[in-house]
Amino acid sequence: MNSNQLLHAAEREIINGLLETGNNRRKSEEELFNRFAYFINEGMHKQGLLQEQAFDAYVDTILSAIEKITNGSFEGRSSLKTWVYQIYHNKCVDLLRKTSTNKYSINRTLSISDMLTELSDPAKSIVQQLSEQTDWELLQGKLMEIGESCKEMLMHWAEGTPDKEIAESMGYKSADVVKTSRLRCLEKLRKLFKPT
Amino acid sequence: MVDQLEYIDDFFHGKLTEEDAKLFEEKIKSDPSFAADVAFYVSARQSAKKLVEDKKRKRYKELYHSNGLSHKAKKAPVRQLWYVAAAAMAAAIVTAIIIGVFYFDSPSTQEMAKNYVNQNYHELPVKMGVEDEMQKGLSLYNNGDYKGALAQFESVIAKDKSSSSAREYAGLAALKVAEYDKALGHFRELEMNAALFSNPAVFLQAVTLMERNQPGDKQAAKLLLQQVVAKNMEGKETAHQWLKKF
Repeated sequence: MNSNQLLHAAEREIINGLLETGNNRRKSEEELFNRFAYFINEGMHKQGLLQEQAFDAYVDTILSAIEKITNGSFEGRSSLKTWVYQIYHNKCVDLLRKTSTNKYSINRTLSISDMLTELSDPAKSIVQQLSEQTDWELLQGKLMEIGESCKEMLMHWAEGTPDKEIAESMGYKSADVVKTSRLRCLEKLRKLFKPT
Repeated sequence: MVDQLEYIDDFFHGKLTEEDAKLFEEKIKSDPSFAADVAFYVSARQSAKKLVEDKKRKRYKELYHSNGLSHKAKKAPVRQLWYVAAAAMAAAIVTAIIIGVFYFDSPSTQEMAKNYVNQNYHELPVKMGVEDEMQKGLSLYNNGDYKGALAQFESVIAKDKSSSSAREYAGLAALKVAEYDKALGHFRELEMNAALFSNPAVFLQAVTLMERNQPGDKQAAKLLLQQVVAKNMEGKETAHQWLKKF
């Protein structure tokens, strides 16, 4: 069966929007959030979570779903609703188990393996081990100190926005200028994080 | 230092030639200082990504409250009718009698899970005449060296994240040595493999929780078993039987 046949037209539209960048993507992210927000009710009534817990599980679900759709992990072998619900259900089960130290669950916000796919295994392993030693709290703190312009620049970069679009959105002359600016911001962050 | 970052940035933007990309990787392996710079680049990106997600989290909260969804989520008020209370009490008494009748004859949920694993996963199928990492892992498992088997299967996974067999067997080996968090992690990954025609991942997560038996695990396992039955997943028959005993 063609995987697209399992998706409703509205679901296909959301997925296509998520694969774009800029405002179209942001709009699709919000549509995705609104479309299945009723899962929060189910988290409360069927699984006995508090409203805040059910909401947090749902937000984690949406962030996870967006990441998987944009990196091509979602293959459309089930409807979007079924797939998102499956992720949400697992998040609710996590909360019921009150697991906060499960080092083998994927940490969606801090997993770097997706970024290292271009590297061969030995090099990937070296970089991954070094990254795992990062003082994340310190690095996040220093990121807040590099200035609004640099922070915005690096956030666009982290989201995968092409340099040309960053130039348009932030008012830079060209993609090359964006790249130079990004590298300066990274150097600034590095000096704050590890002053020599 | 900016030149170094530019070199790293060019690699991750796919701007290096194939030959230069190989040199880049060799430098990571031979130059610890350069490897640390690459790690910083990657970590910086991930930290910035966290900021993006925190911003989205805040936005979603605003959407949730502004769309009136939070009001619809409030629980229904409790009705205090005397006959509802009386019926609930009668049901509780009947349930207690039924539980009491079955209590002395039924194994605990933890025992059910352990028995299931011992009966169904005592040995894993080995391909004769094939010598590879996977088969080595299977041999170790079948000889009772579950720690060794786990290391083998995880080595296979490191090279091929899509290997559903390696995931399943790694989870089972972890379960055998009571590394429950690790087992759950592997079964969760297995669940994400939508290409499998028959996927035991959800059922095996329930089994792991039943065996671990920490506070909240039984309830979580019950939900998973209900999912297995409702969606006609692998393990449905056993799940259906077990749910009667929960």
